[in-house]
Amino acid sequence: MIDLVASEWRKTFSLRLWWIMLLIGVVLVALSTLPYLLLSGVAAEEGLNSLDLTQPEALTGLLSTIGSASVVALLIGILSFTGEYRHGTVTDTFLTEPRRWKVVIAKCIVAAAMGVLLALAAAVTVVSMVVLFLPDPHAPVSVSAVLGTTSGAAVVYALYAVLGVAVGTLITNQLAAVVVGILWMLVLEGIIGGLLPSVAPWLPGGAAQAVVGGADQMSPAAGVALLLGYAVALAAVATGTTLRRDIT
Amino acid sequence: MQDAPPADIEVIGLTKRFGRRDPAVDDLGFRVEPGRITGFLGPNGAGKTTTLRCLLGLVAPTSGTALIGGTPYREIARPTTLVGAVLDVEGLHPARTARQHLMIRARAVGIGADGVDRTLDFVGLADAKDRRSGQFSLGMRQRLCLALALLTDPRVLILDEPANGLDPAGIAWLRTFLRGLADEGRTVLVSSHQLAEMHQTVDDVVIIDRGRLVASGPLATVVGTGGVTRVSGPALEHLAAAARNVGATVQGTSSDLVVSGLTAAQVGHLAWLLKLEIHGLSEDTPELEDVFLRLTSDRGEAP
Repeated sequence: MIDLVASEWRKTFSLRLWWIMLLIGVVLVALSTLPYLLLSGVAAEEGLNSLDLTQPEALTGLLSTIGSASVVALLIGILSFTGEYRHGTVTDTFLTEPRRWKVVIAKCIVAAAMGVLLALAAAVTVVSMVVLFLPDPHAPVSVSAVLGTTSGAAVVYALYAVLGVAVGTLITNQLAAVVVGILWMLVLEGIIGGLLPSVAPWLPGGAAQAVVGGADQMSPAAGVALLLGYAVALAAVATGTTLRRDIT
Repeated sequence: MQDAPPADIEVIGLTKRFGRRDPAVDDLGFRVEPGRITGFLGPNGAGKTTTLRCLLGLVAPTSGTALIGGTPYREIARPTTLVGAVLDVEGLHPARTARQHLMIRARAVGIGADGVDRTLDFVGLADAKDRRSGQFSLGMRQRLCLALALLTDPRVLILDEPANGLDPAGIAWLRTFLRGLADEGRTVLVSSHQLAEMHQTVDDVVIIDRGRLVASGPLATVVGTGGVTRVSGPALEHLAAAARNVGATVQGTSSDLVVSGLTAAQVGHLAWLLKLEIHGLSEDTPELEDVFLRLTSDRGEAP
């Protein structure tokens, strides 16, 4: 299993895709910080505490943008399997390890590590933005808050990346899987949550909220379990269906 | 090669049906011996690739079994250390270098970088190892796929149409190379629809058509039954009768005979026994392609 993970690791880093994905994540995170950094002054005049960086509440919000690239983490996971189907390398992968579920697990481990890497990149980005552009006066910035937010984001990204691997295992067509992933994250989850508020906390996004301690109904541990549960459920369906398919 | 015992390939009652179509492979059975090169022959669409993919655990058989060293591929621990396969030159990510392709496989089976470089050197890609495989010619990609298969020093080699895309020099190289592997006691199964090319390469043949076995066995046995000897002389009536007596089919006139089923040596010996004057004696080596056509048309005519 360790050898298989090492092989997947090498597979990931032999292509440029990994840093392109990190770059997309960094850009997304940087853009998310802009409302705080640009509108802080206006927000202060309007009494809008959530963007007024003299308020601790707004500063927490600014730091929380470290966790605003979940969709990228999901895509990292999705691309891990669908890319192999797209380029035909899946033949070689399944020759190397014909017990295909082991490949899925190895890919989950590497994708999770990539999720952690994405969180670190996001943290560096937000901290750089803060150092460069935080307007004075501002509420105090604590190192422990940065570390706490980063570790929360790392867990969430790792889980979303694992979920992405499961999605890609089930939907092997790369374009279809990417479209479904993006649509879900940016549109569908919001609509469903809006229409059925009681369901919202139980969706992946709600679980991710819980992981970083932002949910009333659910502990962080329960959030982790729920997100993992989604991944396991999807992977289980895939194991009985798409993962068993003949490679012709 | 390592001291590991040889491993054969066994296909027993293998059937694969995709959807509701006619079976791609239909109750196929054959055995591939270690230490020999076995040609897996048939026209395009005969079911060769499907059979090989069943052997390699990529395609699940509808029924029957395919064993390598007595075990289904999916149950072999680290199967690539026992079996090297070259299936499809398209299965290479174009952005990876030759070396990266091999390193990915090497990592999965615990082989170091020196093993990778040695294998690339062996297949003649040492100078191209840091180039992206997307820039490779078809022949170079074939060599790279061979390198992937050979990286683990496997006892069994399964090659699907490896001669595709190779130039004549490449084919000659492949031939020598496969012979060397078989002489080391490895099991070599190589599929082809280029029948003429295989004639000079293989020891045994397995011939299939429409998913079914047509013939299998040593090349000389399968092909020898189609041997044709031409003999000429002033008066050969007795020779014709003698040849028929030993089971051969004889056609032609009393001065020119075409004897099927006997070698030139056998016909010459008969003539010598009968003290007959012979003016010409020649044996046509049948083309494997003719043999194949004869075997498949026989089967087609049979009820």
